[in-house]
Amino acid sequence: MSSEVKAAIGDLIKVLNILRRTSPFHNLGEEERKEVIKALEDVMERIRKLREGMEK
Amino acid sequence: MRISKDRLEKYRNLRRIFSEEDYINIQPIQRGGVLTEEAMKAILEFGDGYSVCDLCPPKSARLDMITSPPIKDFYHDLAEFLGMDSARVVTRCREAVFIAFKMLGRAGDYVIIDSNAHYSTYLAAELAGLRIKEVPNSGYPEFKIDLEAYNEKIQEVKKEIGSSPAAIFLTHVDYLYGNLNDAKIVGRIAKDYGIPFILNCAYSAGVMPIDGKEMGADVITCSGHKSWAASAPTGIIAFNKSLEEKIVMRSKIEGDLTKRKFGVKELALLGCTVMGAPLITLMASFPEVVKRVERWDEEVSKARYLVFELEKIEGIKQLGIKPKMHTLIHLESESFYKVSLSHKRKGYFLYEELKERRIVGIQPGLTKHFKFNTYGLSWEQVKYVRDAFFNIAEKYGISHS
Repeated sequence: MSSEVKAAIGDLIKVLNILRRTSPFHNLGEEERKEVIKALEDVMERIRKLREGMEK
Repeated sequence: MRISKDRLEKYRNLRRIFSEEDYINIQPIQRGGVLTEEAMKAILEFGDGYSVCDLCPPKSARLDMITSPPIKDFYHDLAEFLGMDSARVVTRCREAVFIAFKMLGRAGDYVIIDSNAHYSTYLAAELAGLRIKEVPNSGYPEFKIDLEAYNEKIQEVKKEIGSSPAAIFLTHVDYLYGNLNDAKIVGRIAKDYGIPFILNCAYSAGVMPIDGKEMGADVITCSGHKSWAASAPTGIIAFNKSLEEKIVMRSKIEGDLTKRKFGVKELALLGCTVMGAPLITLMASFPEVVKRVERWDEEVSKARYLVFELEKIEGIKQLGIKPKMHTLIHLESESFYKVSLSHKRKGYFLYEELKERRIVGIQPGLTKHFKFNTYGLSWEQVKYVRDAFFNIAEKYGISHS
């Protein structure tokens, strides 16, 4: 379980890094936008599974 | 003693005021230390105190002998990357300098240093009991170190005390003007006289390619938090085989009662040095650092571009050698200084105007002279910084072409 939590944080760190590269206004290019969306989807998926695991 | 809950409250949820995500940070000493994604992730695994020491080998209990995480391999790779024979991670570059001074000299010896060296170089010499001779620079506006003058200074020391200096020391890129020195010249002089050559690469190694052998360096010192995308405190001392016995001499002391000995420990390092978050970030960022030094020319071109653009503003002049060979920039600004004289916020106006435009890193209160660093900024960010300066100049009636 902890590895999934860390992987989710890792995905969020990816997002943070993109925000750092594009500060202060975060005018994301197409590639960056796709990367952020993919990372956020991965986070949500990991959290959903974690939550399901906890509920069982 | 108990400390009240109220007093402890300020230590909760610590947040940085100017986060890298929300501002463009051009602080001269911070650009090369911005963590990579891998380093940020590695902190989750190894942020705990002695976490890298889980598998410390009992028979050779030393940081550089740990194979998981791969610290032993890292030290080898680090040395190879710098073109040196061996490397150790220490707490800071200044500590690496101190270790080199202490282990190569004896109290009262001389060390020859460049006159643009960081103050900590002077302190390191003082703590090691060494005297110094400074190699002059050309003064305003270039402040270029006269590298051939190392010859004269060596002669001067020989004449004064009848023996050679313990070492000669050069700051590869200085913190004041970001001047890049041709270390090969000093390396050749050191070789001619047979004197150890210490090259301080705090602002160069980790951001630009460094080959210690090619430059004739016997010792190279580096700053992890300044130039290797690592958390503080991290420094590196790298050295050649010929100096290994001196630099990392083993402990010889023995307890008079217990007869305890610590022969495996390296004396000047006081045993193990940097563990946990600082070391692991240095390691985790290493693959990216190896890649990024290949992009150095691009980084320099961004610095030159910004200098070229900002010098269009009336009264702004870059100090140090031109054209820029490094991303640390020192500007003199008569025009912004004049504004500060009558501005209600005095010298703080420039800092505050930039902050309003989400740019931080210029030292608050400075207008006549200020430094910044463009390392790692995207072209878009560099142009944004340029536009911000133009915008501030216009606001205060300063012309730009």
